[in-house]
Amino acid sequence: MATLTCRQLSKTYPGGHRAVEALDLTLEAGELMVIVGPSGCGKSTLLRMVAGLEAISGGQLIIGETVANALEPAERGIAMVFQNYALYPHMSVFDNMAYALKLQRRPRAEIERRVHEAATLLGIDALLERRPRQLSGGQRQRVAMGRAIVREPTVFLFDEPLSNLDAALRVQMRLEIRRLQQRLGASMLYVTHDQVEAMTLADRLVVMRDGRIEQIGTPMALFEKPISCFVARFIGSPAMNLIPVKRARDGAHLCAGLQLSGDPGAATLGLRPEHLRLDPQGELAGTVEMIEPLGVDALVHCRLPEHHEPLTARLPVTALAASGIRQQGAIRLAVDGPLHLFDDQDRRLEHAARLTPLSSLFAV
Amino acid sequence: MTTFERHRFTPWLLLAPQLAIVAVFFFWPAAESLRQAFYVQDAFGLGERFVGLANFQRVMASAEYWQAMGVTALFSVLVAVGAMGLALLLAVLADRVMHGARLYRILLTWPYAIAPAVAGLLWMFMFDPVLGVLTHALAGFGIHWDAQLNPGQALLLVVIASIWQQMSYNFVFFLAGLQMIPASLLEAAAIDGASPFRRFVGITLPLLSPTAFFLLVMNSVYVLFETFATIDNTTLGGPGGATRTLVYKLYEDGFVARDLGSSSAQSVLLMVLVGALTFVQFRYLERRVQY
Repeated sequence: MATLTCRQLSKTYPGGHRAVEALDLTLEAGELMVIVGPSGCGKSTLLRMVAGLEAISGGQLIIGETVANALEPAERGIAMVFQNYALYPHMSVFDNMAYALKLQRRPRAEIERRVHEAATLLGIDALLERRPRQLSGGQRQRVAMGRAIVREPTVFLFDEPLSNLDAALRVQMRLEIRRLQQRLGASMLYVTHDQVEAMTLADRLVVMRDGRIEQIGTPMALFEKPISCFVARFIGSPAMNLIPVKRARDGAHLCAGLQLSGDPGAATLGLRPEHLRLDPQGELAGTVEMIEPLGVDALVHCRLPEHHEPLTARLPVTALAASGIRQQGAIRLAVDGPLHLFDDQDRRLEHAARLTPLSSLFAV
Repeated sequence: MTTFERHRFTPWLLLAPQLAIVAVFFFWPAAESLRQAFYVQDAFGLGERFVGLANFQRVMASAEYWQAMGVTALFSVLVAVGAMGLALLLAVLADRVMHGARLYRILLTWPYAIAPAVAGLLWMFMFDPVLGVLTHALAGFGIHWDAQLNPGQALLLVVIASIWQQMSYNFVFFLAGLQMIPASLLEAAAIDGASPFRRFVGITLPLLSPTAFFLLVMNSVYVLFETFATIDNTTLGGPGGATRTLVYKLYEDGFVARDLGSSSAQSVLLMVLVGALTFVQFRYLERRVQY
């Protein structure tokens, strides 16, 4: 069952800038959908349109059963967690969480019960008398979520809620949001620019670009079959290697006598850093430019002859040491995973591709 | 030892001119006025005699002093409330202005740049019983305006002139305060179901309260001291003492009537009054505006 539907939703600012263009989206009940994209792609505008903080220029927004285009923010059955938490600094944690219920003129006992329930759920019941400035970043984050939970909304909206936290806390809060969402069975729309956050949290992931949806699907589907170079570059860390393909009369080539079979229209070859391994007989030969150790693995940035773009491989540190790979030294890599092909419009080509050294063709 | 640590006397040397100015133009006259409050002088300043607290007793016993106190209280409340209320209203409106916001804000801050004496003259001319433009306009509505004879109208005139002057100052601070409030707070309140009015009362006003408190202190000081020029240029404290505030009476007694002892006693009392007022404001109000 859909809790939120966008039909051809558009936002055009006075002056003609189109932030969101004819966007179709359906959020299923109990689903956590993450909207991800670079800054300025329209993801926050979309969220603010759903919240009612930004007027809708075109299309239809349906929340639950009702068309919500012209409803006031408070009437939409949504709750929002802001990037800066937007806690009321002059109110205690209790009053922050109770504010919406007080405005609804709920009975005092009900307000107390609902606030205490939410506070217990989030482990902030000992902080109810404090003011926001007496709280740490993580606690403020929890209060902001508590304020949303208390309202029992149809849809939760998150606007980059973790970007003000330090790295360790971000990982912890990420897990907590996921746990909370599954416990409440809540429908959530979550905006972020952090692709790790997006991958780990999402039931479905929406990649946005220039006000349009580039691709929508499960995180793994996007990782395994990115529909364009844009998605390929955006999903996965470190990013996918995208190497331009040279076309000649006898087919597509990479550098130095590597022939690419698959699709004659291929313009770019995509290779995940995880899908490369050290191999003395490997088809890719290059020079090591830089090695970044990450602990177990290291990122090895190589340069292939005749190519400007560096090729990054994620390789085990032990294997590097065993093979004596050093900076500025030679390296040979074998492809150990799927190859992705993209046409000259950067769109995905569905063909099984293979790299073959030309020399081995001559040998046959 | 670093160069910075070796210069132990240089800071004092650099401070000396400023300290000299403060000493000559502030501490010396203040000490002199404190001393004179306990003496009576002859009108020509040739001789003086120690009288203890007699000056204070005389001042406190005079009906005129208490009338001036009443006028000051009424005047202060009217000007502080008027100047702050109007400034807040204008700041809230200016905060929403999108086009030409800078020009609008600059124009609203201009009155503060005008010297109180000039402002006083300006208002005096506009409301002059014979020549005033606004006097004629009011006559059109059947209102007989004569601030030189009608005590209520005289007070109203200096109140309006003072509000007009002080409003700009308050406006700048209120606008800055409003722009410090993150938009997301008001958005969160809108999602929580607060109407625009509830958002203003429940979120904006409490968050402006530190600004408002600061302005209350500044306005009190302004009303008690700096309105002197406005009054001196419009009503001269009249008619019948209707606009004679404490500071204006002090001036009259000291510099017109040459009763230096009484005038000094009044200035000491005024100083104590302002000190007490500021103390009360900080002691009781400031605690409530912190968050």
